[in-house]
Amino acid sequence: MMNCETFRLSLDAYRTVTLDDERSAVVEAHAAECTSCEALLEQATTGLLPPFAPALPVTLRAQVLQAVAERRRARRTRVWAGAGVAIAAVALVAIMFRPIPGPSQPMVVADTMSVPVSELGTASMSAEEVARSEFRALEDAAGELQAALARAPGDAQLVAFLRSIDDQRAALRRQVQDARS
Amino acid sequence: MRCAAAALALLVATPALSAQVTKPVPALPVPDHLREFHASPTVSMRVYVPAGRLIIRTWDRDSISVRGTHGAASAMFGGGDREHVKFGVEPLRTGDARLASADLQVTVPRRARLWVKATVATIDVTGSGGELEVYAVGGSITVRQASGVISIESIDAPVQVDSVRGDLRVRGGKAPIVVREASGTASITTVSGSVTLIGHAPESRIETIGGDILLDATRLAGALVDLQTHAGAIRITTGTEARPLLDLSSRTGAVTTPVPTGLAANGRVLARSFRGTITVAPAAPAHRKGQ
Repeated sequence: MMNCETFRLSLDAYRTVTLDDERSAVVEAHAAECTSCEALLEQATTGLLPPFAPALPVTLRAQVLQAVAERRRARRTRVWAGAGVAIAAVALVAIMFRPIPGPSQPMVVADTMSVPVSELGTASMSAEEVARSEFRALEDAAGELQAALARAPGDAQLVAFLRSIDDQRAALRRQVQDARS
Repeated sequence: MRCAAAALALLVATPALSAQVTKPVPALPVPDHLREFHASPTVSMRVYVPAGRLIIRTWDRDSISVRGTHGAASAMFGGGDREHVKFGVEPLRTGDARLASADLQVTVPRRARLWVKATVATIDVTGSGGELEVYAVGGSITVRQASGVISIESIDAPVQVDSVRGDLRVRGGKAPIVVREASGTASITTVSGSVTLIGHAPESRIETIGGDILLDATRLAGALVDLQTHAGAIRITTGTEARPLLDLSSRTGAVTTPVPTGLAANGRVLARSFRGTITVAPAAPAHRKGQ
């Protein structure tokens, strides 16, 4: 069954008598049923024929449209495939060029240092933590001396020992405070 | 098509790029600083190096030279005039909790007055003739061939002093202290760190709480050495010929003296302990020969 569009596509072929009898019959049958197409057929057959007009196959437009559609599909496929590959490549390169965290960034004199960088904290933290055991040792010693002094009140040597510990405790406290500043 | 070609080119180039990236990244090149200042022969100088290394040398010039590098996250600061100079390193960014670090060699006039403060650093001073004060929490401190008033304080930095003249004062915490040839007065105190005194020491006083005291008393002619500890062991090495006068006492610790006491002309050693042991031992022949 022919519709108006295929009728119009076949009209030139009908006019130039390039259609076979069967196709020509189909064209005429459609024109008989469709008034607008009948008018077109009448107009086409009464006009002047273009000299040397090429005889085109009636399926040309359909073939062309089909070919165009296929090419569009193929181009879309290629574009998407190319984009995918490009994205993958860019992602790969980005991963490979990502910043590498390492010791070379924060420290450059590590090779000449006697203390590993990892051991470096803030000054106050280091001093307090380092001195904690020393304060404990001083407290223990002072406790022993006070107990001994309780058993021998006024013992000059014990008093001297105790005074020495007090001095050392005060000095250590000052050292920690100095380090914090 | 062009996109695909570009992607293909990238993929082809990737192996070469990856070969470059996976190589070890070289350390950042940090400029080798060289600063020189005119200064008076007795310039007063304060140096701050929280972490790293600081080497101080002296010369007979009226100038200060600073050479070295600093950490990537640190910056140098400083200023002053001919009489007073202050410099050091500080964190590049405010609020950075990491210690500023540097590796510096500083050359100063021989009679410069030096004040050095560090947190965890290796400090090495040689040849200073003016006042010298060194403060550090950790790291290590070495002072050689210095004279004048020398004051060293550390909590956990081992201290080594060699061939000094003048007044030496060392206050330590738990790290060992070794003093050789202190031809002046020496006052050394620690909490749990050991103290070793070797060589000539005209007038020395050593105090510890738990730290051991090792005294080489083979060359103490005319010297007075006062040792005191709460719980540390005292070990005294004496010569067989010129033995010093020994006055040893421990309240609860054992006192062992296999060699008889000597003469005051060979030096006097007073040792007092609350509960530590005191041991006197003759110097080994090889040891005496080495001295």
